Amino acid sequence: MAWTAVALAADLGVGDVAGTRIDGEEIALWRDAGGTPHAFEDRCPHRGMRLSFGFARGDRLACLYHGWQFDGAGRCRAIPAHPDLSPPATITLRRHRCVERAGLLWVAFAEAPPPADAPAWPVLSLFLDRPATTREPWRERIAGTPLLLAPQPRSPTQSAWHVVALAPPADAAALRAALHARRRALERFADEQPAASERRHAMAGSSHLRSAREAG
Amino acid sequence: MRTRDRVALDEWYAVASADELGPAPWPTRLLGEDITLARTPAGLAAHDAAGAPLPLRERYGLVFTTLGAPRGEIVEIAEAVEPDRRFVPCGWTLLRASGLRVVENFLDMAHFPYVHADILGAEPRTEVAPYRVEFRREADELWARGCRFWQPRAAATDTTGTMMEIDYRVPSPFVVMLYRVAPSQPHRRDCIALFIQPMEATLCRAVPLMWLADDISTHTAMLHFEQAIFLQDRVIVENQRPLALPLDPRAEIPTRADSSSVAYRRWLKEKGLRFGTAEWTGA
Repeated sequence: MAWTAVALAADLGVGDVAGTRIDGEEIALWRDAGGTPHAFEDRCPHRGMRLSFGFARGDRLACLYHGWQFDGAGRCRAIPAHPDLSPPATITLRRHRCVERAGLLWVAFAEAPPPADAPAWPVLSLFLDRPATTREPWRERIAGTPLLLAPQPRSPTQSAWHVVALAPPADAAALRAALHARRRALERFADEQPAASERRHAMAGSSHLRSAREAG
Repeated sequence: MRTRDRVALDEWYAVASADELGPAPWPTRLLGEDITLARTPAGLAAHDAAGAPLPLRERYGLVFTTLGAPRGEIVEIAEAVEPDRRFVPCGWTLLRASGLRVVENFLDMAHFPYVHADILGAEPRTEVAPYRVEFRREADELWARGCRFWQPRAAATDTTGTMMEIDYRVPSPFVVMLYRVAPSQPHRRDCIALFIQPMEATLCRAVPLMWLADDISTHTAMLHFEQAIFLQDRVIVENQRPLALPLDPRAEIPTRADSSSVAYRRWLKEKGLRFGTAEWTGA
């Protein structure tokens, strides 16, 4: 899976900036004034400041430290310490592919066909203090609602699930409660039996993978 | 483990405020090593992790020590002996950052309108005018002279904004100072010094000391002003990547406004300092 879901699309509004990680790689997510989401390397090339602490201005992301502004292509467009200077084209950030599909924001480090789109209703993002057991999104019916669950491997010890409903949720409160119970069970199981849990969830992941393929 | 970086070892470091030491052992850390200080009936005492005694000096209300053999003395600050100066020790702050990044941040003016918005700088007056960098070879100090920046509220007394004039001074790798026109006594210069205690390569404590020409502000107002500024800077230095300071000129992209930073990195490289730099490999 070349694309990784990093957030519910609804959680990154116009002008929002947020930090996230895929496999430990730090990423600055932001949405410009036109609504387009972007994923940049989370490091200003000037003095290394995390751009996820920065602020969006129109169609540019500005670094918190010195206000350097970068356009959607990652190119530096303004250096406030030198207002009359046109920044050279060589000052360009590393950026990642970023798309919005099925109510989720997806990031990819390499070229790949975009993930499938579908009408979707935001449910929640769950953050787990355990590694991801699969990289493949899967579909599952929980509390009477058909869901798309997209895993995000954040670091060797942390992961997230980004969950959207593929039909209007029958009972939103019950759905959220069921998902939180699932997270707690996974974390508890991982705490008690780390080695066994890895095996079991690796298997669970592969069965989810199969069902996702069948469903898709 | 104590660093083997001779350049870092052979310096004096502030490690405590004199008035916080009592008879009880007071443990802290310097350059990767646990050290212990105490004020005994015989006077101040300190020892390293192996129990060997360490040299001590008391100046500016701070206690200094070294793990090596410093060639120089603790920096002389002329303003410290002027009797009418307001002396404001601002307290220690722990920073999960390289002390060298902290020095560089102190030397930087271009961040004022963003990190200290509407205090030390404000948009749209963001320009950093050219200034002069001087290597003072005899004293082995680095200076940035003739710096000018628009500041809406440069000090606790300032309410109207001013084109501030500043000289910066780096007397040793982990000490940085500035002299600026005193907002309430324009014929005199305030002096602010930042002493840094490098605990690990990317962990330090820092204490700002101020000698101000200010008959107006309360001590508390001056203290609060500096502490607010310093906490804003902390957000920056704890979120730079890497946390350590790169000395390789290709690692980050400077502009003319960064002349003092470029000179500081070159000066550190000439000294051969590695502790707290991105080139440091762990010993």
